[in-house]
Amino acid sequence: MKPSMEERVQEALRDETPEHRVNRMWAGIEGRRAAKKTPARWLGFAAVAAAVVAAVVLWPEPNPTLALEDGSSVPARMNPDSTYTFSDGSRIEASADGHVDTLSNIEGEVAFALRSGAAHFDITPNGPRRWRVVASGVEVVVVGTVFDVERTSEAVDVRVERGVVLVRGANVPDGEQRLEAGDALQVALVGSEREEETAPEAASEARPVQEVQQVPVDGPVDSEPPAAAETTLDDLLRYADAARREGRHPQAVRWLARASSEYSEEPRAALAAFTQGRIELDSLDRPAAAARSFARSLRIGLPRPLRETAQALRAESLGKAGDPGALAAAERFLVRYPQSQYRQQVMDATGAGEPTP
Amino acid sequence: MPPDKELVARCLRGDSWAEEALYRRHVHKVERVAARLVRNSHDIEDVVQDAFVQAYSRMDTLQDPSRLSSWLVSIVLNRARKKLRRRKLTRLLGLERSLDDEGLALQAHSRASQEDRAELAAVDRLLETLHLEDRICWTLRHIEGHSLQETADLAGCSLATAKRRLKRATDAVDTLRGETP
Repeated sequence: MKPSMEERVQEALRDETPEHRVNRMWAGIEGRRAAKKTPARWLGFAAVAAAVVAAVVLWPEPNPTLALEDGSSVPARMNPDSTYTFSDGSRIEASADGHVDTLSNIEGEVAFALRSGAAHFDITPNGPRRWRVVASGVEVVVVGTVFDVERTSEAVDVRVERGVVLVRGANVPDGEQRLEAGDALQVALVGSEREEETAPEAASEARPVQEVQQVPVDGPVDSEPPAAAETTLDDLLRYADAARREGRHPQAVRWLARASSEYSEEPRAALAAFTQGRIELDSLDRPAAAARSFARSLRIGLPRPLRETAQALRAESLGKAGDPGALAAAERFLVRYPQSQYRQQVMDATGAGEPTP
Repeated sequence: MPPDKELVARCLRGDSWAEEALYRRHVHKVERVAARLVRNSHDIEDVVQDAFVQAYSRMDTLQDPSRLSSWLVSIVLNRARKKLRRRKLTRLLGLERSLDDEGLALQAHSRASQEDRAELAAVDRLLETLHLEDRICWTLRHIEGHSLQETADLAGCSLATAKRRLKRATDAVDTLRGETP
């Protein structure tokens, strides 16, 4: 008997927590419990002083929201041509024409908007909160780094001096790009003349700039996928999952297309092609492309339980695309799978009738 | 390894070895429940740590040490609820995305197929649309495999309420099932 969806979900999910996470959480628990202990439990003045110093240096500040280094509140609007130093040592330097607003300052996260001009961000790594900087639909997510953001009427430039950032936005290639030290990215704004010419800009540091191939965010399915990089099959499938989960179906299709073409010898490549076909058919309404993806999945070698489904969906896709081969595909399917649950679906999509005995 | 009853007694006496042993025995279950609901790696770890810190500080209130596991799950559910309510507020402020999102597809076994992961992602999106309490009940019942009564006890509601919440969640899931060949 076929397992239910709930059973399949239970079976697919991991039971055990990864060891590194177990250890990391235990260290966090010990730290929090130690921070809660009162000074009276420590013997001697020296021990008390040491405990206070340790609490200040090692554990996050008790105030969950970010403040300026003098203890005053972070202003809602920062002055141009000014430097702001924060309680965790981070710093924002607004250029002469840089206008930075504070969007939010809550426990665990702080967000700023660059309204115009440029600003330099120097974020203390391993701090207790995440930093986000947004500029005209482009979002930079920070986990301890030094970077510059400049906004003009046509583009947003992001240059990373140290650390790692993620840049997200509708016009960011593949919807999201990871930049490391020495990388730079220029994102054309919607409606600008440079919208179709978004290109990387060389940074002044020695490390070469990350090449970002020009691919429209929602371009034709048959466009070339991004240039191959040192990306594992697991990475590609993970990126595809994340994109699909966030509704970024064109990006998910790109990742899956790379997975099935670059790792065509791997068993999971067939499943990647199959999933690509599902997205193209169900979410993107691209039946011709879906038919090709299902065909590729069958060629690479789908697991037996999925072959009937792939055949059915290929025939359905051909029918929806108005492909002249749809009828033949449907008839072959109906002969091969006379008891299939997909019979009616295939006949409806292709106009095929019941095969003659 | 000593049973839970003995570990609890030793924790109450300040035995740090027993505290860590208790943690390592129960962290997988606690982290799983947190992960299924919270689905953000930073928040998952935050919630789990908060839950154990709270548990150690209130261990003297645990009346039946044989129910330690359920007690820990109740605590982590409450911490998860707080975290999710706060997240709802940050979403209202437009702070939606996180660097550390860890949906169900990323909680799969390493040997899970792409089809499995795709299904997990679909279930994830569906669960996101449910009312929090309905999601909690469905997760406890159908992902963690608890009985109806256990689900009600852990969720802190009556059996009738748990059944209603499960029905709502199951109806939504059935809609998804009807769309998936």
